[in-house]
Amino acid sequence: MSFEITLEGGSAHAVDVTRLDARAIVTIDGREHRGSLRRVGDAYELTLADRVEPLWIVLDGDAVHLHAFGRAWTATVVDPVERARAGGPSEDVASAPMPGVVIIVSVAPGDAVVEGQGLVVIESMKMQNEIVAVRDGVVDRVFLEVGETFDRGARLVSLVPLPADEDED
Amino acid sequence: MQRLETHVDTSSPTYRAYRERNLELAQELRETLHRARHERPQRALDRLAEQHKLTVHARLDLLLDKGAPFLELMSLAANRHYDGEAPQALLVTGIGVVSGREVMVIANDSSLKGGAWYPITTRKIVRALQVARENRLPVVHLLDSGGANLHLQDEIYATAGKIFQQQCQLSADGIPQLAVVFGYCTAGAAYTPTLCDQTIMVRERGAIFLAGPPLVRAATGEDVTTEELGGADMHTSVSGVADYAVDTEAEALALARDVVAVWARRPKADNGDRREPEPPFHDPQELYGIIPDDVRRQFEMREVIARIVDGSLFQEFKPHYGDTMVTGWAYIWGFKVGILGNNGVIFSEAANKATTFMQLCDRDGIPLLFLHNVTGFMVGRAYERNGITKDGAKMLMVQANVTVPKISVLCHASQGAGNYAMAGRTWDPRLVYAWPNSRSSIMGPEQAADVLTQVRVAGMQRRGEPPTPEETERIRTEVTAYFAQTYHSYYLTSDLRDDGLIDPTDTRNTLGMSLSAVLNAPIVRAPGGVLRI
Amino acid sequence: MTLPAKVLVANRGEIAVRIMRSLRRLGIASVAVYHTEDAGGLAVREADQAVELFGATPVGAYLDVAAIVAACQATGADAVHPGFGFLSENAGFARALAAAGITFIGPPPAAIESMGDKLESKRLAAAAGVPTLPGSDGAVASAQDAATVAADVGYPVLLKASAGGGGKGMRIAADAGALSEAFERASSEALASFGDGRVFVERYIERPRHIEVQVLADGHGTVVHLGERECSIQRRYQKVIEESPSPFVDAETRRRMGETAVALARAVGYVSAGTVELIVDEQGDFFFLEMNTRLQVEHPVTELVTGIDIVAEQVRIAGGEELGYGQGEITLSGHAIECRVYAEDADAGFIPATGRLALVRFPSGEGIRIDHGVVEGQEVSASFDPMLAKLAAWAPTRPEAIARARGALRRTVLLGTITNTAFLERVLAQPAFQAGDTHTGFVDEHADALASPPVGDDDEAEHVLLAAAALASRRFDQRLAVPDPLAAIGDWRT
Repeated sequence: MSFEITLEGGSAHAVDVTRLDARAIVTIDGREHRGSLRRVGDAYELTLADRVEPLWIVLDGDAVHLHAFGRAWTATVVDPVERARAGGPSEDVASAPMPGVVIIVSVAPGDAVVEGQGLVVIESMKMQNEIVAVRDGVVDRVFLEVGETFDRGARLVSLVPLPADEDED
Repeated sequence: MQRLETHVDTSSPTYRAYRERNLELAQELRETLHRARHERPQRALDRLAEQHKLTVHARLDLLLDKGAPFLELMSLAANRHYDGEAPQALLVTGIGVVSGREVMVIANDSSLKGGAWYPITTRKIVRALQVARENRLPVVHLLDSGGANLHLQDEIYATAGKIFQQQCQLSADGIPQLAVVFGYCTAGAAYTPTLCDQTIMVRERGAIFLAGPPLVRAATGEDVTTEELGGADMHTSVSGVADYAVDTEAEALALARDVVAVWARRPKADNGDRREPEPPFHDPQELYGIIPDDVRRQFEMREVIARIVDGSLFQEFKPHYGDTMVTGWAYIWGFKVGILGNNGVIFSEAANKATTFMQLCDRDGIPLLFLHNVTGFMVGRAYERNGITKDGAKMLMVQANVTVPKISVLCHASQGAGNYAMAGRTWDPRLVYAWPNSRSSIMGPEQAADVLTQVRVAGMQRRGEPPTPEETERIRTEVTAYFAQTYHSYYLTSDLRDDGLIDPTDTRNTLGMSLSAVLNAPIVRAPGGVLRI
Repeated sequence: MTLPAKVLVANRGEIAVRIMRSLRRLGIASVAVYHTEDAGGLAVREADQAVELFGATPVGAYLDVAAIVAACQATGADAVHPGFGFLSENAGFARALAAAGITFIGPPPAAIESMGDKLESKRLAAAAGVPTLPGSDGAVASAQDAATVAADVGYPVLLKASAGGGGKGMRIAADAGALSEAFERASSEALASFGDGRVFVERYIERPRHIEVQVLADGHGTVVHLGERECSIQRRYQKVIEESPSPFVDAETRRRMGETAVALARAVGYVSAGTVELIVDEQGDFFFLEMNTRLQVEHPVTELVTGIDIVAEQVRIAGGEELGYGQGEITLSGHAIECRVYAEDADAGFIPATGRLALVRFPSGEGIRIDHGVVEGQEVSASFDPMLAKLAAWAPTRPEAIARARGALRRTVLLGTITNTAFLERVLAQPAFQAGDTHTGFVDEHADALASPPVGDDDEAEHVLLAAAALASRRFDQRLAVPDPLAAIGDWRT
């Protein structure tokens, strides 16, 4: 199976798992390892080549939270083929960089916006942040009203998707 | 099991000479394969790009599991036919892994001639479907063909119907089929996607119809667009001819992987009775120095076995009897297999040993592997008197009727009835491969040249026109040239007399994949005891 | 007077749990109050009784004086421990409780009030002989006045909101030219944040240390101090690492700081536990900052080095008991460090993080004390302060305490949200920290060294994590893996 995994929001790594159980072959960015993941009590033990690491793992949707090497890590696992089908990461939705509350909504559906134009102002921990358009476009939806609270990653404003074939002749 | 000993002297001049020759052959094979697969005129590639189409190999990369092998079959089909204008017969087929399932992939190559069918193309599809059916391999069709090359329609029409009939039979056998339509499927070809369980179509480029817009206009005067007539949206929302419409090829292949992922993964016929795989103890690279540089030269088949099987371990059956036939059990990639290998001509004892061995394997459900280096059954008065033909017939009778899977590899010579006895192509082994050095014909070219020259000379003499020595030599040269062309491994593989030419050092992987494939079909043993003959 | 029979804990999270622990030891029943978001929390589980509070916001629920008084009456609680934050420094609350005949476990309302105003408290401190920072006597009326004061105390100066806190309404003016703008900014920010635009001027201390002295005062005239805590490691003007004793403070300084703190406590008629916060310059001179009239978050480090249960002492004092010991009987032993574990992203400006705490494993071991109020599976919401736990380590020496704290941080497993444990461990690992070279700008000064090292720096570790993620992922379906021996044959083509 092939995955694209990002660690702590870094760049994507190509990871293939081609065998099972104790004899799994895990190929990471072209480098092949023999590896296995074993449950030990309520923790895990990962063997990779000669290295044995204890770790804790929690799954949350496509996110894998790991505690290893004395700290927590978050990996996001994506099926690359699925991503290809979805047409890659969307730049059409502005989402919340942190949890907070909506202070100002500057746009309404149908508004034309230019790259860098403010869409909404959010407040978190007494800090106000303006969320801006990452590209020119037309506002499709505004997901929240002034005063509404949201979690990190919540969708704030979406733009009307660009036609897929815009760059075609 | 015992480890086979080797008697190969890697420092000998013979070894070195053989090695040099076989490395050349390996290189030639690599280059020929590369040309057939990838070398296309730039305008052909530009044309694909214009149509937003991927090459067939790029499609396969997206379809197949990463890190998993792909056993391409009949990769040099049509390579020596049609003046080379249809490399690979414009079709790629093979056994691969999709979503963890072994599948047969049949994919048109539309980079040339719009992926049109040639006669060998249709035969190649029929053979691929036969392999799928015999080995219960689900099929993924990647369709992108302009249809039959009408200049060659008679030969195509002679076999094309078999494709659709086999699709129906596969379905009846409970073997799933999926079609992904990247281009047009017109007329008869419209039935391939329609006979599959599920069909994915790429919008704007994929189309299915019995007749395309120009023919419809000609026939009925109706003016329709391709999309209206047989496009993805029409077929998936109106006619129900297809099931999924997608925008891109990548999306189509991703969806194909998900469709395949739902298919059952069934236990294999050996019920997991396997050994942990282990590479051969003796270096497979040494095969290059073992195989002689001339098909007439003899070599020890045990040296080959030692470089193919797990740990070079071999349980030899009747090691001191009928010594031109080597029989015994071994494991290849963990799969148990019964091996029959020739050490030259078959004598009665060798034939009888082979017959008993095949019965043993058949009783125990062990697949058979035939390693060919055979010039035929021994001839001569003493042998005829001893009933060599009767012993040969026994071997043929048993070999034809065993129910265990058979796989053949033409390692060197494979001639005459020896080829039949060793489950050559015409005896329907599940899979058959050939090494580039191998030669196969009804008899050896020299013998044939002798016979034919003698017949022609005798005829001329009867007419009172005895040939001059020069004329005799000319006749001889003609016959030899004809043989040299038609018994050559490249010619044979071009005409689909095997499922592929393989580098000798690829034999182990090829057989591992083949054994894995053949064990998908259950082995049902016919009752009957084993005769000590 | 006698000890209360039942104490309502008007707080939540780890401090509520910690207070209940002492109550239990004293044989006193406990009542928790909670907002519905905390219904599944540890505090509710640990309490003998629990009363739900309702509020316009979750925080508002814990600030509802009337509802808390009613909860006391409904449950028969005869005393309230306010913890810290919320109503802990609200004199009105203390009075409302008194009016209802309920004991407020804390200082008298007057002390709360006098210490609650920055200008007033500074005046009182100066009067008690506590060194204060040279500056304006109260708020300055204009930028003009500010300039006059600044010229007197010398630049740089700090302009500070009278009603301020948390760094709001604070501006540094490096020279006379920058003063006017700094005044306007500080004043308008103070007005916007606190509804009170008053600003005062103080000498600005460079690379200051934050050191505070814990005092205990009973109602019978005994006032002692429990030594100091250094709390210089801060981010967003909030402490994250505290220790006792301070590596900077010698016995003589400790004695002077302690005596000063005790004098101030006496001067304001202080009763209960309180903390005198000092700002200390590089020469070791200290100046009064403020007095916190409540239990401090970081009180565990003092408890670890003195062996005194400060919460229990607060309850005993509130019950009218005498401390029963004097300054001479208080000894400091060993070294303690506390790390505040927050749900926050240290690499993104310490913004708070949310999420479901799917896996919680706190370490244990010699000298390790964990104060926490979290339950595995609970949601960390943006509603409350994002502190999840306090991890304290005690050892005979500071280096050993650092080592124990680092080990414990590494073994603290909190999965499902982002926490600052790795950041805390990096702070403890800094040579400057280990050398005791700390000041309140430490986190900014060492920002580069404290940033998460790029994951890719350790290829091996990265591959371990990626492999584990792949094998553990829900996306990994064993049934879709390439079967053997095809997988073993690998990426092979004829």
